[in-house]
Parts: sequence; structure tokens; C-alpha cells
Amino acid sequence: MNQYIIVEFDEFREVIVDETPSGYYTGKVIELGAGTHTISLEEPKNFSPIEQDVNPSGTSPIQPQKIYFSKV
Amino acid sequence: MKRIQRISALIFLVVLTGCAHYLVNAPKPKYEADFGYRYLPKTQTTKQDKIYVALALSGGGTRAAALSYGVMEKLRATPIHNGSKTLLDEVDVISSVSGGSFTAAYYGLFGDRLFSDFKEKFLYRDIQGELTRKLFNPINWFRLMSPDFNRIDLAIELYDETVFDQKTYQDLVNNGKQPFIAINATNMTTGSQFTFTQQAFDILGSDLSTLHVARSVASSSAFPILLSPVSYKNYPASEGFDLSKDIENGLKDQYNGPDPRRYMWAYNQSIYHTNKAKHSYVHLMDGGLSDNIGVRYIADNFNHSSGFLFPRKTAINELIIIIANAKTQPPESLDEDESPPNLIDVAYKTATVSMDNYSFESIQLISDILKVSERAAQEILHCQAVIDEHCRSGYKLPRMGHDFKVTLVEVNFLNVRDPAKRQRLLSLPTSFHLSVQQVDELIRVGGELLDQSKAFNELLTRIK
Repeated sequence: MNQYIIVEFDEFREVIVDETPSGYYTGKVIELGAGTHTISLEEPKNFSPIEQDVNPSGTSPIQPQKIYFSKV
Repeated sequence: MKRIQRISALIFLVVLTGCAHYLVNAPKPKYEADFGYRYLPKTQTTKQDKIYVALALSGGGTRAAALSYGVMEKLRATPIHNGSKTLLDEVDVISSVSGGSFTAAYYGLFGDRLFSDFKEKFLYRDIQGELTRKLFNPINWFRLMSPDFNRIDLAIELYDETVFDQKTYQDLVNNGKQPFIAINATNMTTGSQFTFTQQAFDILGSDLSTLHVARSVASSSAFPILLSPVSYKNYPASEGFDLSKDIENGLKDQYNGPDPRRYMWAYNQSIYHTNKAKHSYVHLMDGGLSDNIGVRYIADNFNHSSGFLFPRKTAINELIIIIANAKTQPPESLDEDESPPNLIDVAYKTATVSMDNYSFESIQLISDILKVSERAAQEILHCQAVIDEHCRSGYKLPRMGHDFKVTLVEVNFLNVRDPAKRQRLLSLPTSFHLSVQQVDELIRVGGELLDQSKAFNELLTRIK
């Protein structure tokens, strides 16, 4: 079952999923396979946390799980 | 006595020659992320990914190779973008199994030469007869006595010398990797698909680029019992190599986690890195045993974050999967007899029944995966339309990161309209020897079935 997340950050950045550039960007809904994924952002590394593990469940394209990164 | 010595020396020499022919995969002491036959970097292809075409060529001996050829010939005769290119030019990846791997590998190595000499070099030949003659050649008996030389090595020699001109994966790298050719075999230990890419060889600490393409094609088509499996060495880990985060996370979730399929996918790869002592070799046989269609490789690369299709989803407008499925339904007479089927029938059914059932499920699987993804973007748009109609707030939902249209076309003999022709095609044997007439009919029907496909014609109206 696919899960959906959206990464919120002050800037438009490519989202890194499991240490791989995903093609998806901040502010857009991202489709993922179920399970644990390590989420980060493309460089520069001026954000916090540097990465976070998420395991979304019960999400949909309309109600994605929100993941926040703040600028440092 | 002298005569015995001479004969012994001759046997020794011949056995030694057999050993010398045994090609083993090379080690790769140092890991390099961009080295070898792996999919192109995203930055190199995003522009051309707007129309993304993946071909899946099934197993089924010469029957499958000829049907695949017919499908590709039709794509080559299908102009798009006002005739500036053909649909075959747009093919990005070809995932193949067994018989289909001959056509895929030949196209990857020699490009359009496929359409000028592949019929004579492979499709019209009695490969089966040639292999049998090699097997009955007394010189080969001595070679086969060597533990390092098996029946499959005779097949590899034949394919290498007479079909693939001794080309290696380095030749595929030199050709620019477009389309990317994914030859699939089955890992005998895990029962999972093994695809000949540098990523898979990274886990084995090995260098794919020196491997002869004939060897991967032979692995992909090593039908159980008739041909021996093909063995590869699992070397110590290359310096600097580690399993991907995607595999690491899949393992962390365990089998009873949210996605058992991801766990098994991760586990089946990881054991060749984490437990090299217990898995010093990997033995491969016919790719049809794990997926006789070749679509699972495409599905995995679409679903997994480390797959090459995953980061391209956002660039794709048209995602096109064309499956050449050469599955047959030979007339069955088992039910006419009171006595239970004999051992040969049981062995044949054991090898093929699960293959056929699994093939059907594989096509449904990729269809479901792609439809869910396609619908995700539409769901947001539909919901936004309702909000716009009923709310004055002007609230805008976040948009989906991808938005593509999916076209899935399965070329299958069951869709042949003429009943007699359909029955004739469904009754063709799985063999590496068909008549010229049978091969020509298979090639024609590949194009005809694409022509009559509603999904294919709707696609053409969008991209012509």
C-alpha cells in the first residue's frame, strides 16, 4: 500500500529519500512504498534535523503526512 | 603402454582446454558508484524521460524471441512527434527473460542490425539441434568431465561465437546504455529474480563489464534439468561498498512490518553482502522461474526509492509499458486418461504451471501499481475541484509531485481474433527451433496485436 508525505521547508529543494535524490520537491506530495524511509534535503545542509526516519501509515494523496525541516 | 600414455595426455589436454574456456566473473576490489553497466544518471535523461517506454520481453524460446522481434519491428515502423522519430527510438529500458533475452541483448549490442541479420543469426536457426550435436561430439565429452565445464558452457560457447560475437557488458556500456538492457535470471537459493546490472554485481564484489553477454543470456534461459545452472563467484566486498539505505530500511522493518515484499527484496540481496561465507557462489537458472514476463524488474525500479524509475516519476508525462507475452496453451490430454500423469509430465508441469500462474499475477501487479500512482495525482485534482466549487476560501491543496498517464499494452496470443490462427499460435512448442513459416507468422502477429490494441492506438493519438 503506497503512502504519501509532504516535506515542508522554507526553500524549494529536492527531497532526498533513503539517501537518493527522489525527483520530488518540497511542498509537493510524494508517493512512497510502505515502510521506513530516511528523508533529507539536497545541499546546502543548512537545515535541521539533517535527516529523519519516517514510517507513514493511513495516509492518502489528499492527507499526506507532513515532515518538517527548519532552516539553520 | 605408450598408447595409454598418449591417450591420457590427450584427455588431460582436452580437459584442460575445457577448464580454460570456463569464464568466471571478475572481482572488483574497489567500489565505484558510477562504474559499469548501471542505469544512466537522472541528470542525463530527465528531458528525454517525458515519454518513458519500457518493454518487457517474456520467455518461451524462439517463439518469444520472434514475437519480441515483431513487437520491436512494429515500434520501429511507428512514427511519433510528426515523424521526427519512431516509438522504438523512445524505448528506455528492455527487461527480458529467457527467449526474449536473445532479442533484447542483440538489440542492445547491435542496435538496428537486429532488423537486418538477427533472423539468420538466431530466429531461423536450429539452435536446439546445434546444441545437441555439440553434446554428442566426443571432444566435448572429455571437456564435460571437468567439474568446471557443464552443458550450459557448451550453450554459452555457441551463443558467444555465433550470435553475440563475444561481446561483453563493456560493449553495452560503450553503446551508451540506451535503451538499458536488463537480462533476468533466477537465483536458485532465494528463488528471486537476479538482474544482470552492475548494482547486482556490486553486492557480489564483482565487475560485470568483463562478462560476456552470452553468459547472462544463457543464465536467463537455462531451463531446469535440460540445461545446468550457471554459477558466479561472490567475492569479498569491494572497498567502499555498502548496502543502500533502501535495503537497510527494508531489513529494519522486518517481515511482519508494513511491507513484507520490501523486506524479502532487501533480504534476498543483503545475504550476499552480509554472509559471504555461507553464500560464496550464486547459482542462476532460467529467469522464467521467478518472473517469466520481465515486468517485476520494472515494478521494483518504480516502487523502490533506490530504483531508477522512482526519481524519474516526476519528469514523466507518458509512462508506457509494452509486454510481449509469448505464453501458450498447448492442447492438454492429461484429463482423458484414468491413470495419473507419468514422471516426465509431472516434472514438466512442476516447472511450468507456477511459471504461468505467476506471469498472470505479475502483469496484474504492475498494472495495479501504475494505476494507483496515476490516480494519486487525479484524486488531488478532483478534490480541488470540489473545494473550488463549494468553498469560497480559495484553499489550494498541495499538488502531487508526479502526474503521468499510464499505457499498458500486453501482446498475447489470446487476443488473436482468427480462432484457427489463435489456436495455432497457442499450440507452438517452447523450443529453440521453429520453422521459417512459424517464425515469420510470430513476427507478423507481434505487429498485428499492437495494431489492434485500443490502449496502443489511444497512446498514438496523444503522441503522434
